[in-house]
Amino acid sequence: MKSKEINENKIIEVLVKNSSAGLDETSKKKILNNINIKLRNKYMKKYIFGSVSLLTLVFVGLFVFNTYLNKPEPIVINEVVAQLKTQDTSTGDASMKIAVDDHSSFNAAQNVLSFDVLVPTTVKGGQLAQVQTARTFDGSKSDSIYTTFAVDGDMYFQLNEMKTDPENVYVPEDSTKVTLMINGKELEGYYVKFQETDIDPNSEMALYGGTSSKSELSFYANGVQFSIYEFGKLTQNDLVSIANSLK
Amino acid sequence: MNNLLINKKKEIENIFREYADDIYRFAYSKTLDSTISEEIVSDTFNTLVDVYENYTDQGKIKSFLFGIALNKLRQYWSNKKIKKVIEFDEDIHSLEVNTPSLKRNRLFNKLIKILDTLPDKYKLVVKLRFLELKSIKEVANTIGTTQSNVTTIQNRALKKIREKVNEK
Repeated sequence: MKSKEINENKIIEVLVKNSSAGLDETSKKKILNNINIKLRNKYMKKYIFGSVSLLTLVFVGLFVFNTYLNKPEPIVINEVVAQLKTQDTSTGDASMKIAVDDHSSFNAAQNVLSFDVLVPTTVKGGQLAQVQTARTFDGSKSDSIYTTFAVDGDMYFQLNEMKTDPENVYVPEDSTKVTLMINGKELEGYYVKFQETDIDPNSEMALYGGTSSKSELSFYANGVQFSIYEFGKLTQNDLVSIANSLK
Repeated sequence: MNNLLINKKKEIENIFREYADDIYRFAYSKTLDSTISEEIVSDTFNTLVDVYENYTDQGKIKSFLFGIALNKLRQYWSNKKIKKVIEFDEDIHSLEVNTPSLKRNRLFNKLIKILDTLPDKYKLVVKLRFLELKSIKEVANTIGTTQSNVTTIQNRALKKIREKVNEK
């Protein structure tokens, strides 16, 4: 049959495929070299990608650890100087600087604070535990600065300054008028409440060592309401002592 | 990372050493061009590097390689806008196993016998062109004639072989 006839192309094919000739060594070396370069690049990319992923994982781990698992380590200090100043009254920007032992500091800034009653405030004999700015639920900064201190190694209290309009200040009927001495300046405010409450074991308070009670001392003066919270075992008298130390 | 790279390098180098010539001859049999055939070999193994990690059927590596080479040839013809029909079954399955196809071996032996009966010049040109895979130019330089003369001799020799191989 005509279709089964072997043509010239088939003859060439069979001869070539059965020949013993092949690629010369130079070409082989060249191709092998290219293959090796490609392999090295491929694995290098993988290695870099893997390292970056690992690094990302480490950073995420560190973030989680620092944010959620690690209790703030109290820093032993001789003196804490808290300095709060208004930077720009037109925008309301302000910053707070806390210097520790005259050589290290924490800075917190936010854009709504505008008060000068605590310039400068000196806290003696405490341990600085944490400085944090508060944030609202939508992620923007709120108009509060929280500064947390530890006293005697295991007692924590929090100083909270909040910009408040005088007409919006709510002073409960059972409040007591209190006078604080701040930087030699007499500051009159109201002791708003002292209460004992159960602390949620999963709460931030519990994380800071709170067990079963919470005390709070709030003042209002010069357009700023500031409160001192106690997360541990402080008594009402302790709070007054702390307040008195703010001078 | 280094050990992994060294192992992969060794594996692919072994595959290259074992099959590069086969792929080259396969490409040459289709293109009759050493430069293009070398490119096909290079492209085939570059593709192998890309996909090797995902390739698990090591026993079929030869047919896998020829599959890649065949695609490279198709791409080449497609880029050159050349229409070419490859007899897939013949090309791949005959090369799939390590032992050469019996049928093709028989045909090859027959062709060699026919080649021996041809005039010396015919025999030499066919041998240089299709068994030693020399280019027309190289053959012309070797036997001391023009390239067009080599082409003429080659065509006449192939015609003779075709007539003889198809004789009953």
